[in-house]
Amino acid sequence: MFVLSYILLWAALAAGISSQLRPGRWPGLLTRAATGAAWIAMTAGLIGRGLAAGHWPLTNRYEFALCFVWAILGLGLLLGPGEMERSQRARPGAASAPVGGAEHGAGTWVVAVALLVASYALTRPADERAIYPLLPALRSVWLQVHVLSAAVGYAAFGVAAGLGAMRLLGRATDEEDGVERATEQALAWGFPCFTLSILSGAVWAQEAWGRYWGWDPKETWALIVWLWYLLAFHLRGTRGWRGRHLAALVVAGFALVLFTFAGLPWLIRAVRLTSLHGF
Amino acid sequence: MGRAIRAWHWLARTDVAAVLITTAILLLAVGSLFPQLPPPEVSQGERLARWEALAAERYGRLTEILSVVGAFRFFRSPPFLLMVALLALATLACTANRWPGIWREVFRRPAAETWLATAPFTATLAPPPPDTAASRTHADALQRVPGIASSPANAAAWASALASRSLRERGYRVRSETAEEMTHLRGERNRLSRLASLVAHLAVLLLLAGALVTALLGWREELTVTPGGTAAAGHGSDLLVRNEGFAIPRYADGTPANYEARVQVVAGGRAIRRTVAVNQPLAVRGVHLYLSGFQPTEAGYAVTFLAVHDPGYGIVIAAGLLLLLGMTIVFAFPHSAVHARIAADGTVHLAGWAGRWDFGFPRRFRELVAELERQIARGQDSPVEQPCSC
Repeated sequence: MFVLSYILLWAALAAGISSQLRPGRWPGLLTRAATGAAWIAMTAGLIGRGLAAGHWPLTNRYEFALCFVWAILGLGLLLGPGEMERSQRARPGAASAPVGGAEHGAGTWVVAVALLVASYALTRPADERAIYPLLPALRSVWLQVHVLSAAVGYAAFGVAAGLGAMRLLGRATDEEDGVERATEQALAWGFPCFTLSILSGAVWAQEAWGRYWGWDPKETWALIVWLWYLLAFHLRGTRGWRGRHLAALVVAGFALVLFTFAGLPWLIRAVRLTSLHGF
Repeated sequence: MGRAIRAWHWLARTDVAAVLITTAILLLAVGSLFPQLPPPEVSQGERLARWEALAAERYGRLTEILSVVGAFRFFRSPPFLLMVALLALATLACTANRWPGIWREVFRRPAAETWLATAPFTATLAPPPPDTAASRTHADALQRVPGIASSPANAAAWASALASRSLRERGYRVRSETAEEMTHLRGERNRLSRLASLVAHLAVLLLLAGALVTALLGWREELTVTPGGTAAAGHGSDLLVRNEGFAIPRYADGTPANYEARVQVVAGGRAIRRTVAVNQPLAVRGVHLYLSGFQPTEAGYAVTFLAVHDPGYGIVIAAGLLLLLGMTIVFAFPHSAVHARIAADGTVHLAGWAGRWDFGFPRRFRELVAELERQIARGQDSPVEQPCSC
């Protein structure tokens, strides 16, 4: 199912690029249909893996990457084009406006972000992709709360980054306002979710290790990510960091997310740090 | 005194907060590059010597220098703590400075004319010109309203009723007042949510206060208890822990399913027997007992427990929940307001304002204008007198 989802994502990306090169109704609809099908396949795969394992598929980097992709696609379908489409329909003469354009371009960029994470998941070694019984350290309801909220938070940041990249690399269009609103909407989802992830992580740490914060590398970098987006909100609200400035902030923020998720284990090995976090 | 006040207002500036947050990010990134000295309860004697030997092997001649500059105690070092203190002060200053203004905006109404002039979204809807098909339809519609005969005064009442109903249908709480032949309607959604950002800021301060309570009043003690042996938690606590056995339940494939220690805990003259497992600590008289490790011995398993007393934990978690609540309200329930001024002839002037996170407000305002336009003018040939500046 995961391989099927991966193939569908490539199909969605191809359709999305095609809809940008030759705007029209069908390439755009194909993009959304392929994305939706990829999400359904991913959902089925995660449910199947969870049933086979006897626990939620949230226990290692591979499973988290799959949930990450699932959440990016789900949020992208929910958030990305929605407000832009509604804004377009509410404008005078919207009935005659051509379908396609920014809302499907946004979908393409979000699919690209999902593909990036999905490709990383495929590189995970066989022992990570295998199914194991739940480790004693992970036997807690906080596994679901902490890891799921992290996945959704990261995913929302990923959707925002996709929209931000589109803003940075695309031409100026009339739909910029809609793209920016969708970006802010994604951030408005991601920041509280990620805050919940950090908070639930603190509760779980207290329950498991007797301390709610220990400056573990994973904890420290999660805090860095949280502060980065806090910085983005403050700059956005005061200096009017709109447009390309906001886009650059959210793209850079997602780079921090990716480092915290995938790059930090390399840093821990390189600098020979120790971490209580398995992933 | 003047300097202190100027410094206070300077700290309250959002661009200063942005600089402090950026500094915090950089310091955290730097600190994460160095292994941190383990907590005191596990960094004594032989274990401390082992840690120091590993650090020396890793950093060679730099070990001494890094130790002196505080790299291995980075998050307890003066520069880091100073940054945290400045952030706390900035948050306090910002909250204190913003509170009065936001309180006034939430609980006092701005003057209608000022608001109409400065709102970012405006529209004007006029009844159709006389002697047109639309005006006749409009007059018919007025006559159909129960108890209202067609006249200019009733046009105002009708327009007011329409606007009020449309606003209520969109979830706005509507207040009405009449002055100098003008009817003013003020519709608001989530008026109190403007206070939520202040709550979130206060929660950050409460969280830091909780962490301070942990640092000053909390204690942790590692207890290694041999099979059948007893260890005291100390730190003024009368808690005694006796190791009565250790078990490792396993899955069918032989991998551990859990780690469980059976203990007898004596405190306050009472003895209780419980099982302490991973993620299942035991709480006795304000002290929590965690399963930390085990070592096989000839007589069974020696078990290592961590006894923790942390009065700051509850404060930190309460603050975290408050922070989460505050930001959820800010993002999910943003404040918006629509003001309608209805003239005697039924002309409706609309003005709208929304918080930054009300993404759907421009669209909702346009839909409100379109709906009222249809209802008031009752026809395709009744133009909006001025274009909607939204």
